[in-house]
Amino acid sequence: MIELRNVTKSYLTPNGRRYIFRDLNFRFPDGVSIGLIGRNGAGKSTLMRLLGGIDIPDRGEIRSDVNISWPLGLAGGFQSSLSARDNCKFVCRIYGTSHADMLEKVRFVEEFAELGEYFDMPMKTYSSGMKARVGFGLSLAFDFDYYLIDEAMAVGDAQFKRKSKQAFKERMSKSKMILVSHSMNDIREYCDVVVLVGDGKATLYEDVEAGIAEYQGQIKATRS
Amino acid sequence: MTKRSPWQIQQAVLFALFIRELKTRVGGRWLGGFWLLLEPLVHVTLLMMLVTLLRRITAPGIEVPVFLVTGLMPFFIFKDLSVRLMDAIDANRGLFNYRQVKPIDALATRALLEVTLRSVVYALVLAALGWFGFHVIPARPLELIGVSAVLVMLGASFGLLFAVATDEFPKARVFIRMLFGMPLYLASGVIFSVHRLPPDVQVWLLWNPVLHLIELSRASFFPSYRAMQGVSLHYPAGLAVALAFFGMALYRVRRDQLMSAN
Repeated sequence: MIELRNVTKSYLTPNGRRYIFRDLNFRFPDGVSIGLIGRNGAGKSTLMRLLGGIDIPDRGEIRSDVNISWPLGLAGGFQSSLSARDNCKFVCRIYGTSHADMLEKVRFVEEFAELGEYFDMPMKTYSSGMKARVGFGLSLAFDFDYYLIDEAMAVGDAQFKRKSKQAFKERMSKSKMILVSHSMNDIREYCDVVVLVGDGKATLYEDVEAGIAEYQGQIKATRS
Repeated sequence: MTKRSPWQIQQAVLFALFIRELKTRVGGRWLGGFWLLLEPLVHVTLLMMLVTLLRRITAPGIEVPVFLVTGLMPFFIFKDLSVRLMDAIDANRGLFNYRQVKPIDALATRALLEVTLRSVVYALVLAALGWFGFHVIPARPLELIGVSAVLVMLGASFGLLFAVATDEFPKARVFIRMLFGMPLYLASGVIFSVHRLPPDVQVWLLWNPVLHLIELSRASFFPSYRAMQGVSLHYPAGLAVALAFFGMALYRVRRDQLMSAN
């Protein structure tokens, strides 16, 4: 269960306060993978950050009784002065894993990422594809109920893309994902329902194609 | 995954950040840890040579190296806390992607690390001097602990306030780092006795809270040392509380901006 109750979120910009959501009430359906779609600036990423617990609503609350991953995005969420190994250990420690478990998880990420000796070099020397490899591997090392994925499905070379796709498909038998993407093919491939975000509202579409059609209608409306 | 209590999560985060900070501060290169210990000793040795050359004697009953160390180490603790806390949020920004980690955790961990490291170094340097035959046991240890606690509070309050206030203007940090370098070093009577200065200069120096704490620190160390006229614990302690209040208030107001990448 993931539920937003009276959530208001705003940001202070140089041109005054800008509201992304105002008294938003929304309940995510259980047991399905959810695609978040909407135009740029509609609030998809803000919603993702709220679900990931790294942004706090101005008012209202987000209730859930499931394990939600950290937002998995292009930026990575790593400390660039540290090596991938140290970053992985850090994440294991904040999740309170035992020492033996930590070593096992680090070994898993090392094998999954296939970075060779780069694994022990500061992450600022990495390309974005290499960072994504570590990010994917690390999130797969934990058993989350929901994975938050922000536009990160299409990173890396073809071989790695295949591999991460495969790994996620396997994982989806017990876990679900909440995916932000502008690629409708990804949405079709991974999601059971879509949520269209825009104008401070979130609308659930049980039928993926109906949601995509509505979203594409919005885009056309702004173009003409 | 098992559900943990908030306190368990807090402990895990502080522990993880502590290891992470320790690694970047001293780990990897043994030189880092070595310099931490060597820095005060080099200071003392160089200053000793200088003092001997100038034939300056501090006061009867006060040994020069101990006099220097009891000024240098509190100064280092204060400076490290205030200046290094200022950078703590930036240095850990990538880690705020995990819901468990907040900027205040980065500040708290770094403060904990600096105090631990400097206390160990302080004790080791005193032990080294004691081994050479100097008198390194403080006359009033409880008073020294009290004064040091205020010093830590003051440094951490400055650091917190600097960290949240300069988040928007990182360029201001260069200026603060400069001010807290040589100017503060000289104005705090770290390497000379402020009693020798003319009274109208002393009046101005009394605005410097670090001077108060270093004087009091020395007074608790040497039985015969008399702190400069006008020095009190109330001023630095009150200032520490006031700065901590403003720092925390500003943190509360700006907690969202502090977490976002910029």
